[in-house]
Amino acid sequence: MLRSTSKLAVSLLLAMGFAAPASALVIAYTSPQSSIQTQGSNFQVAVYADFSVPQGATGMLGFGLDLAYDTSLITLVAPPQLGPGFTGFTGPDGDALGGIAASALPGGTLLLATLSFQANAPGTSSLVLGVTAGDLTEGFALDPTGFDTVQFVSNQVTVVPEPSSLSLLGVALVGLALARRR
Amino acid sequence: MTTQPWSLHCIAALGALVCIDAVSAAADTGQLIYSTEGNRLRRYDLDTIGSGALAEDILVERASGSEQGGGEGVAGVKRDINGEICAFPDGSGRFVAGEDTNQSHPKEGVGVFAADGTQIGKLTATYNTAQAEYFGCAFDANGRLFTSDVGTQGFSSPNGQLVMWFPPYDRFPGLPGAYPNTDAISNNFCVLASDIGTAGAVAVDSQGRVYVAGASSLKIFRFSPPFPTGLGPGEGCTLSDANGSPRANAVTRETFATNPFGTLFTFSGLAFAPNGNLYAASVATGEIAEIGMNGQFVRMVLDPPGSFPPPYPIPTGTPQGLAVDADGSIYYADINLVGVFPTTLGPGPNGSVRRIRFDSNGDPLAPELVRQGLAFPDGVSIFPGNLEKTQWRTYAGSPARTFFNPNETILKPSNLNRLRERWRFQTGAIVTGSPSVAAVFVPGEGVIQVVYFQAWDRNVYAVRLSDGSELWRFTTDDHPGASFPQSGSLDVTRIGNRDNVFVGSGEIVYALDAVTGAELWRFAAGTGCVDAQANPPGRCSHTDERNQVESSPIVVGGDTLVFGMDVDDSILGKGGFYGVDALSGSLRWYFDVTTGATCTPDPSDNVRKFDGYHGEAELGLPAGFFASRAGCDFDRTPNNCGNVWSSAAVDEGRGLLYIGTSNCDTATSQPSPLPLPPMPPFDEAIVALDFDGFPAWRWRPREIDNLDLAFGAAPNLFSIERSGEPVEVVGIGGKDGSYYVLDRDGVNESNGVAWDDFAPGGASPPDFPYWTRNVVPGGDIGGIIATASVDEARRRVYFSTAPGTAAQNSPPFGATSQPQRPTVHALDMDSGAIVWQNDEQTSADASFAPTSGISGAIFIGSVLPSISRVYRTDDDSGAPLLTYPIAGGVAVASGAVVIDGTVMFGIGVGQRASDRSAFQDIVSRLPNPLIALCVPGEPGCTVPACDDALDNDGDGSTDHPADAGCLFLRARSEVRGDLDFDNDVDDADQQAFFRTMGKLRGAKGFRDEADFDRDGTITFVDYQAWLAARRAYVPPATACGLLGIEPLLALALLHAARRMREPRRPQPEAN
Repeated sequence: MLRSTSKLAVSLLLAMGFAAPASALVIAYTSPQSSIQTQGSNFQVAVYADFSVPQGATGMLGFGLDLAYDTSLITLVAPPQLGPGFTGFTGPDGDALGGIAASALPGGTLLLATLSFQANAPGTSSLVLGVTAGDLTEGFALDPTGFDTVQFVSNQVTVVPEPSSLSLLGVALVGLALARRR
Repeated sequence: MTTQPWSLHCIAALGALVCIDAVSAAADTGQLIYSTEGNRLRRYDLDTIGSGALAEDILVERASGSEQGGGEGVAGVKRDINGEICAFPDGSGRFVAGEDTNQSHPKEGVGVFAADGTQIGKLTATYNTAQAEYFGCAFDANGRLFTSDVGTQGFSSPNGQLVMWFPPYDRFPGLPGAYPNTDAISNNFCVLASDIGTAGAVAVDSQGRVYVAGASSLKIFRFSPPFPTGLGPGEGCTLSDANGSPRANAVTRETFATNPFGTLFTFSGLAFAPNGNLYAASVATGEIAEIGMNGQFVRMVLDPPGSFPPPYPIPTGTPQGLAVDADGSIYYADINLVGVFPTTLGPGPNGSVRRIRFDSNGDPLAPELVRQGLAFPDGVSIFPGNLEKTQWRTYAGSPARTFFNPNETILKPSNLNRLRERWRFQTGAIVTGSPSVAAVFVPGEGVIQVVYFQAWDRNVYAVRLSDGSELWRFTTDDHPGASFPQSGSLDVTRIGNRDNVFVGSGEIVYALDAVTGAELWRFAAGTGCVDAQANPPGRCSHTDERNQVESSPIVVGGDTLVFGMDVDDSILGKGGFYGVDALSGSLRWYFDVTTGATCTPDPSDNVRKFDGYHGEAELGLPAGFFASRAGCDFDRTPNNCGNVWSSAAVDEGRGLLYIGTSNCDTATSQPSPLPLPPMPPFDEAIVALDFDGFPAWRWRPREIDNLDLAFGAAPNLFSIERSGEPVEVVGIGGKDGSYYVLDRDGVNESNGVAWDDFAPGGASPPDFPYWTRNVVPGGDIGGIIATASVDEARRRVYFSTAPGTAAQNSPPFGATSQPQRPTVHALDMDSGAIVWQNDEQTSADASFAPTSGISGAIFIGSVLPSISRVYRTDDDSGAPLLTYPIAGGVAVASGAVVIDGTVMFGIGVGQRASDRSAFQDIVSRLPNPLIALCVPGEPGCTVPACDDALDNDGDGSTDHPADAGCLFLRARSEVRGDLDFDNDVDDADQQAFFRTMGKLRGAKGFRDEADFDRDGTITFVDYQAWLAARRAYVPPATACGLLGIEPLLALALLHAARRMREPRRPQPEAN
């Protein structure tokens, strides 16, 4: 359920999320919405869902998500830590961004999981949440049946060089400036 | 072909040691025809020829070796197997046959095969033609192999070869591993001759002389010993032929027979007759001749009319290969020559294997077709073996009704505890009759084993043994008033060219086509349960006509179907016993039990409805019928007696059938509708009838019985030993708790007491039985209600007893306990001594079910709950081997049938009542299945791989096999969502679900029983299904107080099941 950007199929996002934003009852997003991380540092991203119980349902039974990002810039360093009320499971795609609830969870803002990353290289990576069509271990399962409509909010992480690298960059820039002054 | 290793002739020809063993094997296991067919080797079971269900298989299949490659051959290389087949004379089952004929690579030769068809060697010689062809083979008494190479197939330049081979044979030519990608030559052969014109079959006689047919030579050549013994110096094969191959230094050769009949005779197949003469086939002329020991013509055994050349194809075929079986019958491979001689003549598309038998005068009969539609069949041989599919065509397994399968080899005490459900076939009601199994030919499927049974939902079912899938169903007429409407088993008998299913349902006996289920005819043991406008139910109701056929029918004398009829103690009727024409369904005779009369209609009568108490008009008979037909003018007063719910055991040799009859309530106070005591002479008796319905003898243990101590079990036919001599007896258990063993001819050979040596007052002589053994007090719902199992090898009779009533229990178990104990019994067959009983078990393990046995174990039914129990018998311990619970049922009243590693029985018990709200009526209508169990890992045991856990059949129970298509494997619970198999759905099951969430089938942790939607992945959809199951789950303790109801239910069941179909209280209370 954690996918690299290269595997991301935009069409799936459109189909599963963006195609029907007006009727979305779940808004899934990461927090913070955007961040700047220093190369080499570890940082956490929380995955939330703003969930309202649709008519005919009693609550949410669980979720499963894909998260796409640029693995050349950031990498996961630990399994997802599931939010309160969820028991984790590993889906058929081998990822573990999924949780199952013992009883239906009511509406509200739900902390789904907390992800621990490491910033490896400078640059900006999107964090794109989504689901895979046909994978019934993904999405937001309702009690007693069905899945909720969902809208995903993408965010990004910018990785900046570590301080020593910044110093070298500064030296170079200074040098450039000096050269131009000549 | 060669000498016949399995024929009597072989004893003289090849030496006693080898061939006596072979004959013994043949006698033990039957005989098979091996026949090559161009590129495959087929086998046919001799015993099934003409049965309509020829048992056959393909032992070697090489069709994949096409010219284009593929299969086991190399690309561009054709692989085949053909010509004659010769068994190694060591009894190992190994054999040789031609291989890779008529091709360049790998070179033609003699394939060497293990008994299972695996190729273990190849013998390749040198040849005089570019694409040589093997044809004939024969082993001599010293294990030396002689083969022929056809050579040029024409009348010029004869260059066919006779080659002899020296062991060992289980090796391939060339370097190890090179074959088949090598054209190397073997190094263990010697050429004896290379000038035979179109060399054919090879045979060896009792003196070790070798015969070779030369089709274009128009001769049979004979080569006589001594033959070379090896390739070394002094071993007789040191010369070289033109191909550089070893050639015999000297050969003694003569022409044995040559075109002796004044006509063209193209010698091809050869086989010795039992008298030592030689049969020779002529493929081109379609003839088979018998040639005397000196080469003289004796006679033609196959001689199509007309002159040569005949119009092809010849109707009786063109025989190429020949073989002779142990009975002396000839088999030939007909290659179906078609075209015009000599220009376009060649093998056609409809080759066949045929048989010629001989009459009592030794004259040949017309050829029978064994198999047709074959591609170039050219060789036949006889091997020991048996391909017949195991069958259980009638109740209790055979006319002897021994309920024992001595041939079961897959199930044994060591693996019975691993029985698992193979499939279940869900019906709409209970299944109390035991199934029958027959091998029948089903178009598109070949000969398959079909399971036949009926359920109380009025349906007769035919399902495939392999997977429990339905072949057909037939719905019988409703018969209100029948307490046990579909309780009998089915009889499957082949008459003429059709397999017929005979079944009693209500008061109607039906004949159905075993393949299609189409109705062939019906016979009513009563007025027919329809009115004058042919609308049901006619007079049939619980308050009027209650005739019902509860016994299992059986065919006697080849064409008479016999069965009993019961009125369930209705004072408005009486029972009887019938014989009807099995082909037409018309009445042949009726034995009126209460009067002892046998009514025999005239041959021209077509009586389709009959009983012993209705009038002529009610039965559709012409006026005056009773007075004018032999034996039909008997007293027709209804009296609740004459009932027969026992199934007949049949002794075809004696021409007698044996039945047990029910009791007859009598009344001393008259007037009463009940007769005065004693009971009429044939009631509550063991009765022997001939096949025309006339009584031979009868015996009974008592003269008066108002306690309902009927005989309802089927009699068992077996032999006991008396003074070291076998005596053929009939044994039967009664509801009085006793098992009786009587002489089948009506005279006790030990004490000379005859059945009619009546005691004072006319009672049956008490000393007539060889032995009697009482095991429980018995009673109306006790004693030996169902049929016993007889193991003649271990000299044991096994049976379970019914629960009985508490008041009738016996010490030391206490009069107030139920069931009557002990409940399972093993008796010594010869003396009646009790060998073991399960008196250590105090659980309620009585049964209304017949006992069924295999070597080492017996299967017992149950009442509340439904379990199948298995006891060990091979050590006389009677130790319980298995208690197999059947979820959802209330009893096992059906006898187990064991076929090829599969155990089958029905589930449920009950009784139809006038009050539909009565417990026994309610439970009789509960949907129940026929269950099939097998041991995973054993041959033929394919246990389903998934459990959909969906309530596909809507019976409220989910989980396993009730829902067709996805059957029980590991789950041990019928409770939907019960993933830890503790028969509830709780948090522990939810945790189990969490552990399997997200798993794919095949992955560690995947749970079939959690994959509710059967998509191969445990998903949220499955979780939603599990939650629904949890919410729907109701703990038993709160389920409508079921625990409180259970004892009442149990009591109702016991009374419902009384005799497994015989409660017997007459409607006006008996005195």
